[in-house]
Amino acid sequence: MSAGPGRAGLVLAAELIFEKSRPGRHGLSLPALDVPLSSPPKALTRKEDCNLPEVSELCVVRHFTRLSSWNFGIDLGSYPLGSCTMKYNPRVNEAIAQLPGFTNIHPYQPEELSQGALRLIYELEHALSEISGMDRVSLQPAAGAQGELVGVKIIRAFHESKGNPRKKILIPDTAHGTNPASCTLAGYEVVTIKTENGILESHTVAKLMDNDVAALMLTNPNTLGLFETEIKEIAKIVHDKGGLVYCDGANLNAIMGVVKLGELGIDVMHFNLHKTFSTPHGGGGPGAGPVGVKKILAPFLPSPLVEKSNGLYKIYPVGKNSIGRVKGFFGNFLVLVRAYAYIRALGAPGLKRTSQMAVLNANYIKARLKDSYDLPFDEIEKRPCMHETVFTDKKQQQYGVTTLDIAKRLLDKGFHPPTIYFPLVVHGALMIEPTETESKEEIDQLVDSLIEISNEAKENKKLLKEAPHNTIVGRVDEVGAARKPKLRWRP
Amino acid sequence: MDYTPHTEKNIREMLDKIGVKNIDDLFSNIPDQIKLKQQLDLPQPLPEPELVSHCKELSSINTTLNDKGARSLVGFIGAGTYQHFIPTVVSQLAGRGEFLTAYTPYQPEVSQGTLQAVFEFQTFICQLTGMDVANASMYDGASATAEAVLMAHRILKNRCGVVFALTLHPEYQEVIRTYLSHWESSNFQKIGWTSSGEIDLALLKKALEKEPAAVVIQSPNFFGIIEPLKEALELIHKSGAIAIVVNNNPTSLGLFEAPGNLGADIVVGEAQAFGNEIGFGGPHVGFFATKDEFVRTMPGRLVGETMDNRGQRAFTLTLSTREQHIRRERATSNICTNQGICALKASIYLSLLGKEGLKQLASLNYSKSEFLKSLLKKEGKISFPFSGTTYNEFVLKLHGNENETYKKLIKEGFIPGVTLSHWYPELPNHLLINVTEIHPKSELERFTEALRRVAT
Repeated sequence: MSAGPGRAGLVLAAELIFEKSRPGRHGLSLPALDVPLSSPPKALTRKEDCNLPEVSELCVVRHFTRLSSWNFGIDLGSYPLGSCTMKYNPRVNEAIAQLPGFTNIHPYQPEELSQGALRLIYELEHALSEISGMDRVSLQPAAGAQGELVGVKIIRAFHESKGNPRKKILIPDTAHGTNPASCTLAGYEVVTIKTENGILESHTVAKLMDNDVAALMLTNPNTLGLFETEIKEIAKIVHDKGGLVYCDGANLNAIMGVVKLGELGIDVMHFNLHKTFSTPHGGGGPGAGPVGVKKILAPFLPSPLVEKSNGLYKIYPVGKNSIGRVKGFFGNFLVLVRAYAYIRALGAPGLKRTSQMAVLNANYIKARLKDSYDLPFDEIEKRPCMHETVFTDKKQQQYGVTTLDIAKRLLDKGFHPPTIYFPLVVHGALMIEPTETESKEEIDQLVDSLIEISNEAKENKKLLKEAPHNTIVGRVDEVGAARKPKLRWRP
Repeated sequence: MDYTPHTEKNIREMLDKIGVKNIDDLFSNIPDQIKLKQQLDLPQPLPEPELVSHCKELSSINTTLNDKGARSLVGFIGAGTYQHFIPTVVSQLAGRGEFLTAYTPYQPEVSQGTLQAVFEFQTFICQLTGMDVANASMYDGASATAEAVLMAHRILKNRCGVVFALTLHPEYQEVIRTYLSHWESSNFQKIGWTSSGEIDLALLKKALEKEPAAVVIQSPNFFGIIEPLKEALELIHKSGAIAIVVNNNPTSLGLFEAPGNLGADIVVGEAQAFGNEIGFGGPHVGFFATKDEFVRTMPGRLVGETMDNRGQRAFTLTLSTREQHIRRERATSNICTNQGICALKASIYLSLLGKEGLKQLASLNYSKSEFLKSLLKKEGKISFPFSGTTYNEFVLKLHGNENETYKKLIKEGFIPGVTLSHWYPELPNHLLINVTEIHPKSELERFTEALRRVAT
């Protein structure tokens, strides 16, 4: 019997919903027409019907329930996907986000009629400011990458206000792919900093820093799970040349209540509420990527912000220096509601314990796995890690087994694999982030399963090469999918 | 409540295995002088019962729309996000933890549910818009529109500039400006409207002489009017520009011609109207569709059909070399997380609605809106500034002051719509009114009577 919870079982097939269509069926009862029927001019009307599937309500329920059973989620088991912070998404937050007083309110209804919503936005902004040490926070961006775009636009607007937008942004080679993509989108040239031994060193930054550099964009803790210890010195070097420092807050889960990024020389950062603050990822969103800034950058924040005056919460008109709006309305409000509820449930002691337990779990995994899997840098081996750690497939490669094989075999054992082949600077990376909500038993099962896999690599390589065996589909032909893209159903 | 499961004994055992004395040792790499000396200044933690009652209290301060709640008013407010009836099935299914607590489907073997649902969403969007290919979703209609303008510039590398109709949702206009803020302002051309409330085709023709890369037209436009897409698209194509059509209430596509069937190059918009709440403006779900020939310049995630090594049909993320996690600074967009669950809700809703349901729904919206118009047209103190065909939203002009009328109508139990003067100072005392299938005839009549009482 394998160490993990993975077992083979009965799965039910589901064709595409379009393939289940039978003319004349429907699954929705609309209100009757109680006014005279009107029709628009023929020249404007649709000539051919839109062929939506014709299915019953039960058919829809079974279809999507079956689809859901083909998914792995946090509610099913450990999901140690590095840099993604797949922690438990408290169910109470789902119920709160479905309160009619939050779902049935319109962004353009008068402020006096939305005081509860505006107060929530106001209080969440203040909580995020307190947690991060930033002075103001815009809750508008829809996701981390949009937060980055906002941050970089703010950097540009700041430099423009001084007469020169500057040309380049420095980004370490360990950064998330969205970092350079966001800089390009904002019209900057990206200069990649080669990191030695997994850590950003101040002398490397000093060599690259000049008056053309608008900002340094880093992630702290970085994607190798290491705290950038020289952060203050590095920030000073950048500031001395008139540059700004951006922090990707994807890894904030490691440091809540321990340090404040705003006190370390960071000028602008984004949060991922769908990581650190437990809002569900939803198989790819919606998230929320608020942006925090220090005072000097506050005038450039996107609209709208909420202020309190005379006991009333008001939508603050956008100033002339604002970078403008990046999204319709107030951002992903119902995601903000979930994050607000999470912060209110945990409070200061809960947030600090969250970071402590996240770090404890990652270090425990590192300690238990370091004999079976290779750690890529001396710094990773030597230091305690933060909330995540990175291994490689170096020890398994001698048997012809790669990171991909290890990941696919872990599926059979009943776990979602770690993030693989990222960060790019680590060959064959396996980036593990257990999060604070996993119990010791779950973590032990995960570790035992990974050790079993490292033994299987020696003894039964074929088992890994052909993995996964227990999943509803086997290894998927991704190359074929890209060569001849079939991106929709056609009758 | 902090959701961490460890007992003191667990922690002790784990620290021993790691080989440190206490938790603080794990943070020893962070220099002491930068560590916080005090606890964060946040409100006290709340146990679940208190958390729920606190949040209920906050939510109950808000006035809701059309839900018969204690503070609910009858609302006719749309302007880019629309209240339609949402069947119970939608939230029940979309709330399943297997969908809700999964990440982006990077491991296709354990993500077939999400992947097939996205493939179905892509198909739904293609069917509705009449386009060849659609992506997994965008943040919202506004950012999808801005991304479409960027994409047009990837297709037409030798051209620069965008023309947009002033009847494009004002926030979408703002978002285009923000995304392209490092451009010269001469690259933006705005086109006004005619007395019908439609885009001024003569002005469009003139703007096209500057050879812009893209033209953006919304239909139904911000005033609710169906634009002359056929004529506009002909002009745009003659000039060689990319035609971007925006639709932020695609329930209209059950009745009005699909932009793809009229030759649009890119169709973007907002699919919130399908099964998603207005939710104070988000999360909603942007969609993005185009022609096959442009697929490799698209932003966002795409799911494709393929096979597994057992010969079964399977789905996977594909054409990822366009994306940031592979191509980094040379990616077609920086988008990563999108609006997965909202797209799933749209797919569930559209599955329930079906072919006939979509037509019925659109017809209900159109007929009810026309009915309210016909009632209001009998009132002397109101006029209709635009003559164009509308779908489920229209503009009326009050003879009296908008703020006074608005306040009085709220006292009468109605949120009458949105005043336009905030975005269009040249249109004072104009109200934008939205009617959907959720408004029974009796409410339309009561609203007309209330307006008669308060209008001056």
